[in-house]
Amino acid sequence: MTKDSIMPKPAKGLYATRLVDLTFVIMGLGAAILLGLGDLPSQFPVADPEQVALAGPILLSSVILTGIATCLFHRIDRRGWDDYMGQVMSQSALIGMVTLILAGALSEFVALKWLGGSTQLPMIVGMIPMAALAWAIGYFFLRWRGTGQ
Amino acid sequence: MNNRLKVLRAMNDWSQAELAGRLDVSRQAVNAIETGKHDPSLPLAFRIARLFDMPIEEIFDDGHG
Repeated sequence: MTKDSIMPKPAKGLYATRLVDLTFVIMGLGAAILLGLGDLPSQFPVADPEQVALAGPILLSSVILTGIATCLFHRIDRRGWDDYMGQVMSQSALIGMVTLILAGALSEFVALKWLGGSTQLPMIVGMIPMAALAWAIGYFFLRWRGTGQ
Repeated sequence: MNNRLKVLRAMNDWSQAELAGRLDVSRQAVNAIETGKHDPSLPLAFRIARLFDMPIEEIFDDGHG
């Protein structure tokens, strides 16, 4: 008996391939629409200058805490999704991470070189170090605990 | 990696869904293995071998055998 079959059927339904497909369609379209809006960051108020010093520690601790939580939940995920979806999910996550980092860097480079300034998209620029740190947390968690079942 | 999963499934007159149920994976996983789009993990390869009562190397061929 494999670990796959330990998970109750209703919970296994959450990992149905079609549901994951649908989730990625919604996530991809949602992200494309948000990015397409362009001036999205301007909709958010700038932090109080007196509180700006706290922004870094808040961001850093948020990434570390959610990174650790995600690592722990990932172990449940691995019991739920099947062989094929596990590989598709992990490999697409890797592609997504690299794309996020490179696309963020490229868009900033283009903006600085030819548009005379930053893209002013802190969502993208801020995501690069967040993605790198989150990736490192996941990487070292799997190095520590291993990738086998 | 080449494999005989489709042939073995046909010999047992199983649908992809039926085989998926016996292996405790999704039908898409069976389809992906049969069409060569996915190489199964070692635990799944063992489950497949046990199900058909055959050695793994008689089901999967990495071209170096």
